[in-house]
Amino acid sequence: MSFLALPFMRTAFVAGLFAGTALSIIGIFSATRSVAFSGLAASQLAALGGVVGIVLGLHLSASVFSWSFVVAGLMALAFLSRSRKTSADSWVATLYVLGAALAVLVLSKSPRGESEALGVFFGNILSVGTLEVWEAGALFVLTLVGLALWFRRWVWLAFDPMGAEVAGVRVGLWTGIFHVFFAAALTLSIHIFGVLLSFAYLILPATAGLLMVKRVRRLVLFCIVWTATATAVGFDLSFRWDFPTGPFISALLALGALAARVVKKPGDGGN
Amino acid sequence: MIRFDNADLGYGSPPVLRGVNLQIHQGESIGLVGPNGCGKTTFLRAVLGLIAPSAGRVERRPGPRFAYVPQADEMNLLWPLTVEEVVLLPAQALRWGGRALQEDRRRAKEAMARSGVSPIAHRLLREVSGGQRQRTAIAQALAQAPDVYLLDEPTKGLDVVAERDLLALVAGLSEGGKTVFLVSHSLHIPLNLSKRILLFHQGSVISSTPEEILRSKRLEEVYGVPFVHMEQKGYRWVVPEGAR
Repeated sequence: MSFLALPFMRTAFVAGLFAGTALSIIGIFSATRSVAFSGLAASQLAALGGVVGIVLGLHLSASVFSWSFVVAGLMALAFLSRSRKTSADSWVATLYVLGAALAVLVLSKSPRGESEALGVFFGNILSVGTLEVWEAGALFVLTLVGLALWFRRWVWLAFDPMGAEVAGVRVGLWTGIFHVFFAAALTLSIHIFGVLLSFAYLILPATAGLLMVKRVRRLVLFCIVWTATATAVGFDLSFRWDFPTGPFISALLALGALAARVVKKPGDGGN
Repeated sequence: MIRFDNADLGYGSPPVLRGVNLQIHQGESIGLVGPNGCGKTTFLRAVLGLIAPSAGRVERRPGPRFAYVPQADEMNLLWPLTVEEVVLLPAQALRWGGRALQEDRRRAKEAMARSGVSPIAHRLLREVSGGQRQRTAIAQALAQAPDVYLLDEPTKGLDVVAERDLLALVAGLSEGGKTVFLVSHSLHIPLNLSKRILLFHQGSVISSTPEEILRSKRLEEVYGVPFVHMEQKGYRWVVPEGAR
């Protein structure tokens, strides 16, 4: 029997497909800025926001809490990284530890702490409903529209921020707009799949793509196809072999990135 | 174009530069010289209008367009961008939808031809030499058709022949009334390419000419060591005494 025969799996698959591909496209900017671990810290902060929302009994507002925590965290990271006496990585680590530790501490005071912890860190596919599918679909479309309008502007900001600023691009404004998209995709993905798979979607397809292709457009296309394939294969095999879906897809994406590195030796070109 | 009237410039108290009095005219070619941390970047940010003076005034004629030429190793080479895509990037980035117009493509083509990177237009930036990368950065700036160029250590990391070829290209940037600001730690570069030198020293900016610099003891005051000045075949050269 295919996982598609089960309505709740079908719903989760469609929502995951939308949220995952949106996140993997946005993740190109994390992978190319060498700030992969800021994605992990942001994921942890989104999880913390979700936990706070759930513990306060504001289940419907959990996503709003997650989104707010991510945006606040990214703003804090930008501010903290200005210090010349410490590296930006130190502050990424600080926010990661803070997010993870506070999430566990808050959950320890929740009557359903253990089951909720599993949901936060590994997602809860069973809880995905039609609303999440619509949210993920809307997010996917919004991400594509945002990228269609401003992709090259964000590429310039990542490629040569000083050049963009000198030419009159308002770096703070456009980075902020990007962070709104980033936080929205991350929040939704964490709600569906938890921290691990969200971080995997954010970094691993782009990492494999940077090794495998030689053009920016192909990189975007690669991320979409790679993510969709890994998600479909991961859902199917984890269902057949009775494994948890999120960690299974995460492992597939990680193995894919490692395989890309093995196939493309240093100095090799892509397509 | 820009007038500094007793301006204090910096990011708080105390200011990095104090009491700057200068007037910069359109079409000037200006070299910025001084040790690390002496305020060159702060000055350029004030030229761009990115920081306001904490005292005094900075008056800027409205409307000049600026283009920045980064050091080759400042560009993020993880992006799989070709030389042509890099040159077109600002035009695309500044338009909704990122679509380059015919005019943008024509300008990019001309800029690549002038910078000598047309033959490598379809190669990835990360796969070309440091000198070619720096030429691509200049082509990108040319394609923006700015009024003012800001060049930050354009020859850093280049071999001597690549440096010579690049400097010939940089010398042509000021044609047609363009203003050029050139930051370089290699003193011979601004001394040969710039008509005016701004020396940054202990929070002040001293305006001078290459000829005055060679005649006077100003470099000695700024760097705290004696210099040997040489001039051969019309080319000026300065090195700290004892550098061998």
